[in-house]
Amino acid sequence: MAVANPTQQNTIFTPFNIVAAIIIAVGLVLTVMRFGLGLGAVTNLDSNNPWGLWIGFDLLTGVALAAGGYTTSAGVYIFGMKKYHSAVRPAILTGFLGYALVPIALLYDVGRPWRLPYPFVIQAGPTSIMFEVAACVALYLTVLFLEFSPAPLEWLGFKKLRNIIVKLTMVLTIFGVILSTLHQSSLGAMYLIAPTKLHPLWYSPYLPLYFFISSIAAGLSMVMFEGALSHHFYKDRIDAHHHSEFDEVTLGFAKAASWVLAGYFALKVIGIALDNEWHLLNTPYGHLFLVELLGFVALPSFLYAIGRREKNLTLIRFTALITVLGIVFNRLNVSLIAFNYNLPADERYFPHWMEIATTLFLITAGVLAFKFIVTHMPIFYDHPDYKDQH
Amino acid sequence: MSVSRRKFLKFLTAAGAGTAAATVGGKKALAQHKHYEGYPGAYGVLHDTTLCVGCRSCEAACNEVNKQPKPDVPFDDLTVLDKKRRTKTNVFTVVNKYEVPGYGPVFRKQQCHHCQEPACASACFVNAFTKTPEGAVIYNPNVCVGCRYCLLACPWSMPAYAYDSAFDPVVVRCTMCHPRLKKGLKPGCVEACPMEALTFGTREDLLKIARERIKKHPDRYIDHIYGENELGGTNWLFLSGVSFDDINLPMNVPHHAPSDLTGGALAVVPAVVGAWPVLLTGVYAINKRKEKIAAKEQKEAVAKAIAETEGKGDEKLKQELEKAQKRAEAETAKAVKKAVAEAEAKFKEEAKESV
Amino acid sequence: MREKVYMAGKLVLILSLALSLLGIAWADEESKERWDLLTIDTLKQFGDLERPTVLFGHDMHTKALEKEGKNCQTCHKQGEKYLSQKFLRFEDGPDKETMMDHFHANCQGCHKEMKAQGKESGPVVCGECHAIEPEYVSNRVLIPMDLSLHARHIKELKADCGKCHHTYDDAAHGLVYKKGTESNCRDCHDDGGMGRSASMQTASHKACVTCHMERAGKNLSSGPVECAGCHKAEKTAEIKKMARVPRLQLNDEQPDVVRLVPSEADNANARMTPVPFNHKGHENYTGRCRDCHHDTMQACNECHTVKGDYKGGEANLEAAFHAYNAEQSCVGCHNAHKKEPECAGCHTFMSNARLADHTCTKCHFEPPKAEVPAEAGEEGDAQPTENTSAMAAFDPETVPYPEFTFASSEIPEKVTIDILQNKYGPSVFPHKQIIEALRKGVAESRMAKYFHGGEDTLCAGCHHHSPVGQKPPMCVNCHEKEGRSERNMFGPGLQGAYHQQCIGCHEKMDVAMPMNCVQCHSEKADAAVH
Repeated sequence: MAVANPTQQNTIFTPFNIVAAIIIAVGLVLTVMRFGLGLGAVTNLDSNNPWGLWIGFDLLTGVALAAGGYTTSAGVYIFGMKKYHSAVRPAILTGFLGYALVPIALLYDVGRPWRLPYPFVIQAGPTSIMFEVAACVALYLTVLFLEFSPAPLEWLGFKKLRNIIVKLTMVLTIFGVILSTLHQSSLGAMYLIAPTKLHPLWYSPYLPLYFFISSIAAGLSMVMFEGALSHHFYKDRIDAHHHSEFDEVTLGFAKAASWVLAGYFALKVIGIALDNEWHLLNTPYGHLFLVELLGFVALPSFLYAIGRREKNLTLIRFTALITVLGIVFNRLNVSLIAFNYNLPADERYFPHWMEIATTLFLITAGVLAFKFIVTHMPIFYDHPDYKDQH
Repeated sequence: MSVSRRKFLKFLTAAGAGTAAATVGGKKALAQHKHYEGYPGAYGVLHDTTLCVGCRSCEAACNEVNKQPKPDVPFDDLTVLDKKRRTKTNVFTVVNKYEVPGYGPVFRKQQCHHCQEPACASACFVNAFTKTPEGAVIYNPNVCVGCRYCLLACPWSMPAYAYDSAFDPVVVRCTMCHPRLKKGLKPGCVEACPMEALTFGTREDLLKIARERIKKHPDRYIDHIYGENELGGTNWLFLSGVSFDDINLPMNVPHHAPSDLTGGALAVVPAVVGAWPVLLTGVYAINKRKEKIAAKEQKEAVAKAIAETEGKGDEKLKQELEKAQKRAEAETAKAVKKAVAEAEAKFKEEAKESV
Repeated sequence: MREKVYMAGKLVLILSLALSLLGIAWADEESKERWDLLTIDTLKQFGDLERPTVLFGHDMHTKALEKEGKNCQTCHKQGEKYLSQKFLRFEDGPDKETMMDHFHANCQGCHKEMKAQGKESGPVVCGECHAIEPEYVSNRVLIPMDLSLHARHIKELKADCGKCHHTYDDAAHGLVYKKGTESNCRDCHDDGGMGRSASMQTASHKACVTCHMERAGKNLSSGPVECAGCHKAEKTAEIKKMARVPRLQLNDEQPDVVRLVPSEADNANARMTPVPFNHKGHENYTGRCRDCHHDTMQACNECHTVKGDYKGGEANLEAAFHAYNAEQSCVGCHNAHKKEPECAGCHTFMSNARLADHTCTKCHFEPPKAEVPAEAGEEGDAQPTENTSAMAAFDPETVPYPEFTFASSEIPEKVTIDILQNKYGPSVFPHKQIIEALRKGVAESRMAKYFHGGEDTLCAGCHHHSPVGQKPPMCVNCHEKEGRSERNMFGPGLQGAYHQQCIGCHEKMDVAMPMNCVQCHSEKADAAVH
């Protein structure tokens, strides 16, 4: 994302564009392979390990990191923290793109992608947590699209439609929070059905709660982290108002994230106490668990608190990165690393390079979409026509 | 899934909602509702691993009944037993050999356990799995989306997936020869087993037989029927002379139906859908009201300030006016006095002059 | 400040990642086995341990010291009579610190000294001795003092029982040998060493090892002095067994035959005809007296009463003799023998849990001619057997193996099983050959000869649940061709019955297993075999 060098502004052969082009080219070839030859041709999945990187990373992590959308909009519109208003649109955009990746990743991952609407139109399986996930993702994607739509509508100049949707903001936000609560938690609940396969330190009846709470921390951190990047790379796209508010947003979010992470830490500890799994902590998997719990939950909670106290924005942004990585780590632990922990090593799953490349392809596509949208639509600045409407 | 089963599961969810909404379920709890005993008279198979000699006749029969391609290694080649195998898309059942120290080899046939409340069915979001009254769990490939949540949900990882098919990938597992059961025939593997290590019958009968064997030969069997309670009961039952963990039948499989694991989380859905809008609009309303009150208070304060300013101003003005009046009066008086004095002086001067 | 926080964060991350990776690597390593491992946990008596206990390889150290020309006294202080079993002391110190210093100074001291001399040495770093996951695991076996080993000791020590057996004399405040009071070691010395007796471990090492060393010093025949001799499985297997163990000379207390009756006080409750028990006959089959008598060497009825009480661990007299899975009961011990290959072929199909009713009289009967004395109720009560020859009538050792009542010509030579033909042709069963093999096997076992000498029981190994006769019912009468039936719910169908019987017997008796179907079945000309 090197837009920094002004001399190269006019050429399209920036290092970023070249790398992106290569990734996209490889991704397109892999896409053809995936849909032409089947899952077996590009993945290391097998009948013991039905879910791999595309679910563990693209879906679980993508959704968690897209939680900024609902946390920010709920904070601003429902809890009345109007001073963070400028953070809403970037957060909604990130959320929308994150969620849009989910159905796309699912198209790649499910065996018969053309049947994805089947649960809603042919035959429903409402006893399935997956049904809940599918319903929520579908609905929430719609809600996010609507929440996001004022930006393109302003860009395109459809004033009437834009104004109708803006009036719906409150309703959409409430819908967004309901749906996010349900399916952030139901992503965790999906693993409730496999108590024998997921390592007991990660398996807990509180899994849905863990996923929900950690998604809040992930969302807040993602807004801070992604905001910091945007403010670095898109200085020229950000108006003074957004710029001046952003530091305050960061400080406020850091305080919130610190508290959320502290609560999450406490819940995790309670979970261990409830199932009396202390003895498992001094095992290899226990060490891994402690790394996650201490290094990626307790530590960022502490660092956020310090950062907020000392008004140290750099520390807060660094902490946001740790938190985001921690959430990625947690989701990968649940879905891949601590899953099937009792299978012998030769029956365990490790992603094929083509799976990793496909994931990179999807992320790159997301980043390109983000780039396009922020350079063309009023995300980091208020559209001149609607300057005074909040 | 048949109607009655669906009804039952709905009942489960409803029953769970009351008790579990607050707790998001519990690993051990949630056993308050009535235990589902399965379809009465449903069939099953009892696999007595102490009788199995690993001849692979069942595998051969399964292959034949299901019209699968012949494997490269013929079924009478027993060397394949030296390697751990699992069910595949064209292999519904395999026999594995487990070397148990101090006991010798134990052979165990692997296939779908045909749970009374299948985890796969509970996990499927298009209801592709059906527990039939005959006891078999069957699969409908015409609705399957291919999400493979069923593979993840099965504690024994029995379903296999056709990863190599791009356009027609299906989930594959033993059907307990459901078409044969319908015709009054036994499953192919049971019929082929020369040792009768597989016994076919109603699940009730099989449990009686299994208990009788344990009673008669307490030193030959572990006192446990695997599948009697595992995952709420399965129609495929196992007897063993060694720990079931040693023959890859994990003993930590919960003794209740999978719906008990997820029911709590599902029960939260209506709670969230019901409570969140109320709560959130409440919070919103409170915030709005706060803002309104704040705004009102501000307005009042301003008005009061203005009023106060106005009040104070009046008095001042009055005082000023009074002062001014007084001053004017004083000045008038002064002027009059002065005029009078001047007039007197003038008069005196004029009088002096005239004198 | 900021920099420090970053550094701390990074450090924690890297360290914890490294730790978990190391943990995974450690878990995969397997432990090596040793027979001579002692656990040093002396400090336990002063409270909870701060570090893991130390595993000490005794033979390892003996060997290392031997190389240096050092002897036992390097580590063990020489007492008046015995070498102290403790490390460089007679008694433990008064507190934790003293004991800890004692071990650290002496262990580390020696290791450091050896290292300084450039010799191979032991660990000096804490974690190497106090290992959470020790390098070695114990595979120590215990050596049983069985009758053979006991007899060899009697022979070598010229029947001087007092060399080992003793009792505590209150007047003399010490150990004395009193003839007639010999019992099992474990009668007084148990695992924990509670009360005034030393633990079995202490007592046996004190007595055995000291004596072995003394005798070795005097160039007399002697036993092992290193751990391996008694505790390494490979070594104990090499210990010589006497072919025929002479009977113990226990005067009046060890009858040839004894009637297993309730004690006199309990006699009124007795119902069954008492069993005339061939004590002498069993002595060669059980390894030790303890195998039946528990630790005490008392008569059965001293603890086990007809109705059962606390003295007999609530096991009543019936259970004491019939509990199917108890080590010390008659039936339990016989059941254990039934699992041996010679017996398991037939017995694996029979329930061990309950004896068949008709077998009661095999043990419960009036002995033929002579009076057999009742089991001693109290010490000294027992009468010597006056007419042991009368026992010959039911002593399997002397009783001749009965001939079959069926004439040899009446036993079918071969039986063709052709009732189930599907993929394969009929199976020809070498009926007579198998009977002869079984009869030969039975003749070699006194127990088998006694319990199923005749055709009634021998034939029932296969022709079960039916009366004896030259024409037993056909298998298909109970085992139906269609498989398990409602009528015979718990039994197998015909195919299963044949295969379970044949293959099961081959498997249990270690007879070569049929490797494929055509070893028993003829191939059908038109059959499409798998």
